[in-house]
Amino acid sequence: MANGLERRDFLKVVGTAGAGVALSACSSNLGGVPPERLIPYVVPQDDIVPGIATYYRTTCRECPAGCGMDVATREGRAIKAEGNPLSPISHGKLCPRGQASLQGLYNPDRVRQALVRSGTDWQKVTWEEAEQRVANALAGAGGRAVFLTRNYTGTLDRLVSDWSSAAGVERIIYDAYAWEPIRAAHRMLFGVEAVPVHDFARASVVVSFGADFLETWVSPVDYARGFVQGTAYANGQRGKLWAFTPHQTLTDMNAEEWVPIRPGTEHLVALAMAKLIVASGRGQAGAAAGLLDGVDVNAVAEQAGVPVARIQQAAQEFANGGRSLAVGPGVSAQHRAATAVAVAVAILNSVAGNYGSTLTLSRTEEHASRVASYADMQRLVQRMQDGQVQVLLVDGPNPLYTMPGAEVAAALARVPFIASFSTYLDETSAKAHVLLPDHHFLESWGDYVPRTGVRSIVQPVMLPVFDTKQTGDVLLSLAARLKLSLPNVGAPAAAGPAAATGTGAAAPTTFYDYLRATWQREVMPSVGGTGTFEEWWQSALKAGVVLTPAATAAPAAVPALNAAGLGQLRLEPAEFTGTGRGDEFYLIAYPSMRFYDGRTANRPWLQELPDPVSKVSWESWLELSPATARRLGVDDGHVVEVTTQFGRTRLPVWRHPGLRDDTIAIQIGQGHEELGRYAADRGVNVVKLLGAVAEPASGAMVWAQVKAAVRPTGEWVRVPGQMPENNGEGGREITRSISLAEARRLEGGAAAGVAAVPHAEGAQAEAGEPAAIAGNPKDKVVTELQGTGGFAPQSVAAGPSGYPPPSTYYGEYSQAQPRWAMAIDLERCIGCSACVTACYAENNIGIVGPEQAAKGRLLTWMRIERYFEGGDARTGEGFDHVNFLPMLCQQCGNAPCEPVCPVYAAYHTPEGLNGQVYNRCVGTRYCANNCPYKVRYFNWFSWEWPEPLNWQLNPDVTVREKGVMEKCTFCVQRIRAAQNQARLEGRGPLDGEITPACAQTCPGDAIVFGNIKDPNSRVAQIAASGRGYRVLEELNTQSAITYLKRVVDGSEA
Amino acid sequence: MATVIRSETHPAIGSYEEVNHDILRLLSRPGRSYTILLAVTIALVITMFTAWGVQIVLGIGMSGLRNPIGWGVYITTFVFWVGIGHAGTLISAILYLFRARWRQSIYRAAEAMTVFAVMTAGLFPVIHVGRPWLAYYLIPYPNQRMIWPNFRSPLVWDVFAVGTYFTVSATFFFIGMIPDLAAARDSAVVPWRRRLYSILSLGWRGTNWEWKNFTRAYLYLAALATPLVLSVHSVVSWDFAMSLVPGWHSTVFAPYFVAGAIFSGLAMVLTLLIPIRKIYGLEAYFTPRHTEAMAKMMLLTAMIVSYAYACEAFVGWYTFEAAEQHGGYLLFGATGEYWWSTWLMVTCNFFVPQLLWFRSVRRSFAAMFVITLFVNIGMWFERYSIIVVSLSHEYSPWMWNQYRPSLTGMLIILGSFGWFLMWFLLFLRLLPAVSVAELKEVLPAPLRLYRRPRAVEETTRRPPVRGRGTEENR
Repeated sequence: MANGLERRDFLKVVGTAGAGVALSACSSNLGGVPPERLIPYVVPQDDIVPGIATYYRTTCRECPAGCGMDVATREGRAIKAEGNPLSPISHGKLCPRGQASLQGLYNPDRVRQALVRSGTDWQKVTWEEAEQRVANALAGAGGRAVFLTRNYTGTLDRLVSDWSSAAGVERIIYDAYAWEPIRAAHRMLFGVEAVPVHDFARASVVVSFGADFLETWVSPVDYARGFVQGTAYANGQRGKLWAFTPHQTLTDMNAEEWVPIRPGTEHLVALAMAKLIVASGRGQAGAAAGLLDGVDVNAVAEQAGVPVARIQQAAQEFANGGRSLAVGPGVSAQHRAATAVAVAVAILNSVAGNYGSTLTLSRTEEHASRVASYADMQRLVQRMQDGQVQVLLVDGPNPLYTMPGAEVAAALARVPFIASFSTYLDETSAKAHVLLPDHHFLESWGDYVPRTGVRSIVQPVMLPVFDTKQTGDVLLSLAARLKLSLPNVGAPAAAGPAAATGTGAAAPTTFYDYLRATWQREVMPSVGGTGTFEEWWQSALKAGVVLTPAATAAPAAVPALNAAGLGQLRLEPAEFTGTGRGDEFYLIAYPSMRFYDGRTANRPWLQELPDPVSKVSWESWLELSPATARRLGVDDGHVVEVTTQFGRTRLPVWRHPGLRDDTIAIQIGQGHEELGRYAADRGVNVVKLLGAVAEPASGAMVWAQVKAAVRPTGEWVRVPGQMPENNGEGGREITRSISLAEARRLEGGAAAGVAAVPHAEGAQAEAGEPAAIAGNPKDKVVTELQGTGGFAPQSVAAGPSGYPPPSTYYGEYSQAQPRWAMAIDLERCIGCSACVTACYAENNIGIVGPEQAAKGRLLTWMRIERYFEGGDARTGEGFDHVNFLPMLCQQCGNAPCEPVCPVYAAYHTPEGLNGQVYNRCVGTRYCANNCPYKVRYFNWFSWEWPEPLNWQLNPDVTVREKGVMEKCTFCVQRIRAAQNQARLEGRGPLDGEITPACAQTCPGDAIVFGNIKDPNSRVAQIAASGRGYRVLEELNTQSAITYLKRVVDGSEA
Repeated sequence: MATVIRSETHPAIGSYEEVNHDILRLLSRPGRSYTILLAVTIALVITMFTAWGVQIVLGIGMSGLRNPIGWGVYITTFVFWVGIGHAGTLISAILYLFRARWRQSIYRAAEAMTVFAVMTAGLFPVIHVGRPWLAYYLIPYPNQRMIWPNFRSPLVWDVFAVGTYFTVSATFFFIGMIPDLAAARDSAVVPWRRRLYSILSLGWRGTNWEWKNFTRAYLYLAALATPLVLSVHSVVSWDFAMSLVPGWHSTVFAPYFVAGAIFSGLAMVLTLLIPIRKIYGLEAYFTPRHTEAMAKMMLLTAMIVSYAYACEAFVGWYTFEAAEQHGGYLLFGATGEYWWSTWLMVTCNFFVPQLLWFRSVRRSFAAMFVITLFVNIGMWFERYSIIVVSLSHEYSPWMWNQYRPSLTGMLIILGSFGWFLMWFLLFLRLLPAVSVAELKEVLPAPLRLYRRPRAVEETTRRPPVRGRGTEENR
């Protein structure tokens, strides 16, 4: 080698070249990315360390709630979404839709570049040409152009408004769920057309009139978290949820008191409650006194079909000094009297003194305040039909899917030029003439104002996957082409906006610069930012969210009720129309936890996720009460035909014990005709069964409007998902619930006060949280687990002396090793299944698809079991309450799976985990047979991740092939990462430093993870609770998960 | 003509010569029906391996198995064939030790059945696993990584139990055949057959010294094989009994399985031999005395198995545990969606064998053939019930499921019968199907006067004696 390369030089060259190749592979290679966007790895970026995740803070835009989001990226690719703990909307948590946003980013059916229609096909064009076509169309529109945008606030909203007025384009913001009745009610009563911010955490009694606030209603993550904080058992107290609804959604399943009222009578019940409160002297009717006088409680009970005593009890509990909250209506209760419901709910809150306490009008849910009503959209459709719209620009909304009536399609066909900025080819975009695909929000710059005073930053977490372009930049480019003069926008450089890299000092020419300029001009002064803008901007990016003083201001004085409009309220049940020919059932259409209004139906994780209520995946289903099903002679999986005056469809039955006998329900969100391979031609779209009816008072769409006929077809299909045969537990006592008195007795020490629980600096540490910790820390379960490094078979019951022997087949483990354990408080679990999707995302769990899901081959390492307690063992009829139980590997100390594996693929780690060595697994499936919890899942086939969905795969977790058993490992990759980091810093991992994906995203913080051998750890303290029990404890598995019993108020002691 | 002294056990057989003729005649060129039957079995074997290949390429999901039912028809059939494999060694070893003299004419076929049944059974663990290309991980072989199988796993015990059983049965089968192979060698006219038998007979000449060693070796092997008859199915039963599955973890399983194995093995022997007796004209060798003796053993084992059913059901109920009361294959199985499987098992294994109380039934070949078919079916469904029904309804009511075998699974099961019959058919034409040497033990010593067979076919005409053949030494 004397004349050749020195060895070191050779390695340098290879290393540099290899790194360059590796990185170029990380950036987009699917859409022809300009070479200057490659990151030169010769000078490594500080924030890209191979093997170490880099987190970027952004804002979730999957629904209008606007949760702050942290996205983990590895080597330039986003791999995991988590909540931003600083965000007052998400509190570090996400719902399943937020978790699945990565599959929106990497969706294989995204529009990959600018396209123009040629006949029935799409033709690739350059961005210049596509923009020129739009500019030409706008130039010739003659002022008859409409810009239909999705629901955004903040800087992009400002730009779009400015651009629209400069270009002479009418702008309409459309969202399928616009909460018009609530806005209208507050306009009527208080003169504020807005949705107030609900503070569930302060409310110990919540009454819901069809508002699914744990799923989709207004701001579900924040509300779910607040609901758990406000009502879950803590310190001997427990709150309560009353649900007055004909049909149980997930939210209503969390209610202790479900009152199945007749559809369309919510407002009457709410007013009756208000009247009873006023009559009992515990509330002031104010201006509503006249209205309440006209309410006859007995007649209301009659109309609603419920005993009057139930209303009286609810009213009595509701009047508790401003610590209660009534919410409604949600989409499922948006009937022809929806505004009356909202008014009645507002009066009820007002009577109980909740305004200024659990509700505030000085801070509002901004995202909900400016959306057009459905009536506005109907007018737009009419104008399009009349040929008054020459150019339609659509940025995101999908009215063709979410609006009922055939006239929508006809209207779109009448528009000569439609341009869509949608990221996906949805139904509306499929009718467009030009597609200018927007970046996914994880590739975009922007900001969002979800509620008053909260400014949440949207920043790109990685390079664009495809050759897409941010709509803000497209608008600026169009402005240049149309020679529009926009406020605060500079003249574009000659080569177009993309080439300009402004410093922020000059007038901005890209949306990024426009955003920065806006923040420098407005946001920074509003929060009193100091120093240079650049420094402040970097700190804002690091925080992800900026709170202006308005966000934390004390609630202003509550304005008095304005009685002006109350006289128009009609105190009678809402009307449901029908043909009168056998259509005997009220049809309820309700939003989907997984798909919202259908927009996220193209995410395989969400399609695969068993619905939190029905546990059906990939399909649509008709909900019938068991009694009705029996009467019609149908059972789960039987296909029925549902007919309304507007349409007809066929779908399988799922018998829902939480449903009135005279009501049927179908979830919104399936039945797409477009939107990609995972969504198209799957299930039914319930909107097709509805008529285009707007509620006069608010202009809201009437979702609950028709009666339907149900006819069995005699067909049967195997429905995919995880539906149990029985709705009961079959005497297994998997979940356990106790009365409040029993809970107080079990947690005896609670009243005496619990020692302050030490917290680590971690996502779980939050003041005022660990209230469930109580009892004797020397509890048997905890000492037993604390004593076992790994495996030490100590009998649960008293055994003969000397049994079991101190050492075991596994040998003894050093006491220095941790024993990882978990505590799950069933009081805090709402069954939302965010943990399940988080687990899929973190652990590269395969998507098996509908056929395999129908055979029970789902790979839900974590699953939410849902049991109807106290009713018929099979159908669940007459149930008392619903229990949810997150079931994952229990990491048993004495694991049945381990000894039976012939090849040591299942083995016990020194830290007490039940490890699974995928490379060693032969696939005898003996371990899964022997697992009493059934948390081992087998790869019956090899699963596919179509490019670029595979970009999301977590490089720290093996992708399993066919023939391998897999299971939860307590996210061992996260444990190792934290241990390595701790070792580098010369310390041990701190309590709370390690958070498995499920615990991380749990909105209720039901799941706590840690080292139970540390008696001060949070998990050890919670596991010591008197409510603690372990599932199937009698099998002596010595499981590491302690569940805390659910407390059910009023159940027998 | 002097009267011929008749054997007590085989009165229809006249002479040693007749035995040689009748048995070695089977090694002649086969007829058309045999060829067709063999072709059918080979076609089934090809089907099985094709289906298996598809399953390997696409994934074990092709078997129709699903969570939580990790074991299905493959393990069912594995246990079934291992059970079948019990009768041969029972008849040849245990009955040998007990000096049951009626065994002589049937034990060879029963032993062959054992060996082929275990060969068939041995396929199934490999077919069953998710990654069959790694199945060798279960074998303790020295390796650089010092990774050994988990000796606490009943599946590893299975590898040893079935491996040992196969080795000993095959050895026993082969050793016992050596004198007959020599006889076949001496009578073979086709060159390749003579060469084959020459090699297999290991140069047997029939000297006193050889006979002494042979009988001693045979006795020892019989003694060695006897405990295996009890141990192998006990170990197989521990696959289930050592687990935590309701309906499986029962202490009665080892005797229950051994009894069931002998029950099913005897049934399969009869199912095979009754048609062979008819087709090959072996009426003199396989008599009602044989069916009677085996039927009595079947009756005994059927009652043991039925007692075990009752035991299982009672203990399951008596636990007052929800999982046991509703999960076991007998209590849940009798009423749940697999009722047909459980009731098929009880009917075939308890009710039908009650007919064996009647002597006329026991001595009727036709009746025994039908009954043994029922027993074969019943014993397969017994294992199906134990495995599938118990796994379907375990502790977690959330993870209950139903299983039905797929087309791939059924083709493989069907093919396994083809695989077994293929070997058995080859055995019938390649190896002496009845022990010539041992049969002669139970015949009276030859007198000077004996009948010559009426016709001797060309292929089996006695060849010129080279050296000292077997005949002379009897």
